[in-house]
Amino acid sequence: MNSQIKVVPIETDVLIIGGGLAGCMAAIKAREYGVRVTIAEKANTVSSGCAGSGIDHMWAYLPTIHPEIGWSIEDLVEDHSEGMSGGLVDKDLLYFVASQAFDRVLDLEKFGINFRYKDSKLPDGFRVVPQFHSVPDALNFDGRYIKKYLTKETKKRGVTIVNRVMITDLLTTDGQVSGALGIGTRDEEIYSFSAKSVVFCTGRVGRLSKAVTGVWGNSSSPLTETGDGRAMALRAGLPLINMEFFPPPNPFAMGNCEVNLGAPRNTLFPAGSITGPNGEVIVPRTEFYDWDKLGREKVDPAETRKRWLAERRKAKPQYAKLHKEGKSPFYLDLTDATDEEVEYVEWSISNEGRGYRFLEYMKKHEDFNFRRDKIEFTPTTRGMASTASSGLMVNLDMETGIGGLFAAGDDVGGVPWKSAPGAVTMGWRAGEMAANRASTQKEFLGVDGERLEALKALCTEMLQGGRGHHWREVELAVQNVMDYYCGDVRTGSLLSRGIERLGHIKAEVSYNATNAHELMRCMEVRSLAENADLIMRSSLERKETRKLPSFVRTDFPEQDDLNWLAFLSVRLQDGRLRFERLPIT
Amino acid sequence: MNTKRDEEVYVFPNAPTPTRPVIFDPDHCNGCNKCVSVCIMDILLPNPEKGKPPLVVFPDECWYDACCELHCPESNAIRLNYPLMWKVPWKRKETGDYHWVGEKNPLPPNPKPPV
Repeated sequence: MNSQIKVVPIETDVLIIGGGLAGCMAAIKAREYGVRVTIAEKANTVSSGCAGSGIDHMWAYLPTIHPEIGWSIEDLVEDHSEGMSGGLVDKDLLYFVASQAFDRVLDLEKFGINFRYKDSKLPDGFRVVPQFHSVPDALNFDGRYIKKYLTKETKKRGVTIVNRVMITDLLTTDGQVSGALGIGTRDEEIYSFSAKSVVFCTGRVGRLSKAVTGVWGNSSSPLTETGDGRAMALRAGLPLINMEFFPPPNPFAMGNCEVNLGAPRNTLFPAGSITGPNGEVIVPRTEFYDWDKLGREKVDPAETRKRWLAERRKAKPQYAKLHKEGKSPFYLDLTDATDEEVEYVEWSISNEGRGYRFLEYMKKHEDFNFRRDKIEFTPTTRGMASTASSGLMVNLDMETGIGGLFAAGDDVGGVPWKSAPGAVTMGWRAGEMAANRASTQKEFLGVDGERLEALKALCTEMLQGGRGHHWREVELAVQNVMDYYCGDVRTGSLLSRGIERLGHIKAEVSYNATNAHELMRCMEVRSLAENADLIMRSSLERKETRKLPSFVRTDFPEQDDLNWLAFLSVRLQDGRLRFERLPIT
Repeated sequence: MNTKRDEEVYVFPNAPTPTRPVIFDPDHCNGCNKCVSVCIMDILLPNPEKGKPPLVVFPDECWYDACCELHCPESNAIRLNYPLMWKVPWKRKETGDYHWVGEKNPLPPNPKPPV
């Protein structure tokens, strides 16, 4: 049976795994050095990744505006470190992202994305809105088709894009990267890549908790994010950091639909308020963005930061408490907004995330109107939310512990909420360094035949396993374990039992796929289960509760900076997981 | 997806999502299969009959990101059929009436006397 699976060999100098924001930027940059560059993408680069259905803003230090008002890159780093990550951050990496983001914005502009607006009175015609930091530094842009533009640019530069291939194995020879193996998600074939350097751009693990509504995939990040990069890194013996910062389910949602609309102080910042059942105001509405206010007056960064941090602490209403007191449901109320504000909010929604088509649908078919109707708002009640704290460890060249292996974007740990700026800056740098490395290496190290045979055998087994489990049965079982044993309540005893139960599931499972599509899903669930194990074991190891990035251990309710202002790294060594604390210096 | 098992027949359990997450209008769809190419969850297959709308083969895996609709060269060829439990209730400010997607709005008051 093995012999029936066809192997497609592909040779390339630089192999990029995952064609999201980071992957496309890496490919575009790497091609400048004249090497052969290939992107292996599980879906299609035109629409894949977190930016797949659009993004409308990203933060950056703006050299034409911020120095004028006395706000430095160091101030941005300090804001981000204090306000977004409670000091648990790799400041050098953060500084790198902050200092490079604007240059990448200019690149994106060259690739055809509009960043300039007539209604702006700022020097360069930017729309700059507040988000994440004490001074407005998030640039708005027409990003609905950002992935389409990036795909066009990669093709123009001669990058080879291999869509519908899921990479499952990283290949190494004597601590050096030699390529990767993957499966065709439409053709039941194995793709064998021989490469001189490899860049991981696979994103986070998102599909690990069941959505509140029970509808599969009611999550704002794409369901293709199954932690494949983390699972491969683990198997290759690389350390992963901060895996415990995994948020349990129940994210921000509109009604019960998680559509990435955000909340007041977020995408709807300028005009929304949150009201209770009888119209009582819970979060008051804020001012509309004043496009030309920024830059008019100097700021005192330390004082601004202090005020901003205090406001942030105050601004978070205790929805869970209000709910228990019978003061729900809540409404997102834009009825007091002006036409200009509603127009802006709708423009913003239309460029970011999958809320756009949903809102169009509501307006067209259900006569919905923001000026007249309050929409029900289900706020998050979870105690933990720490986007992108976890991932691989890299240096400032985006290099990992394996020679020739680089990582970028959400595959990199240590900088929470680096999001789009993290993806574009790290991707660019990783592309440059991977190309340099590939051009200095003469020979290919060759594909490991044993690994290839092992993957063939695994696929054959899954495709023949008539009595095995359907991937969804396994996925639900893993998600159930995560939701209960590793949800909002995490204790030593609960986590230990969860690890045990997951172990039983993993021992019991035999996957059954009836075609290439299901084979991909089985491989994804295998990644999910490995990630779940890492998350639970790391959660068991971190014996403290941390405010930012938020992490709650019910049996260790205090923040313990003395011992735990540290990254927690985990790696597989001689068949066992080994943990190490890496204090923040 | 040229599976080697095209000739076999399978039975799938009912999924807790709309059985038709993506609805094609055959009058507007030109059968270009752009949506098949961009769908990140890969739930569509080209129609064996050329020029006809694609087939939704894995309806329960749709995550409603609307990429099919965003990249469709035609207008009104694709409509997403959102899951019932996502359909958001809202309240009209002046009247206080509740509205619910897919119902005759505003909803009539509950005629049952309180028990």
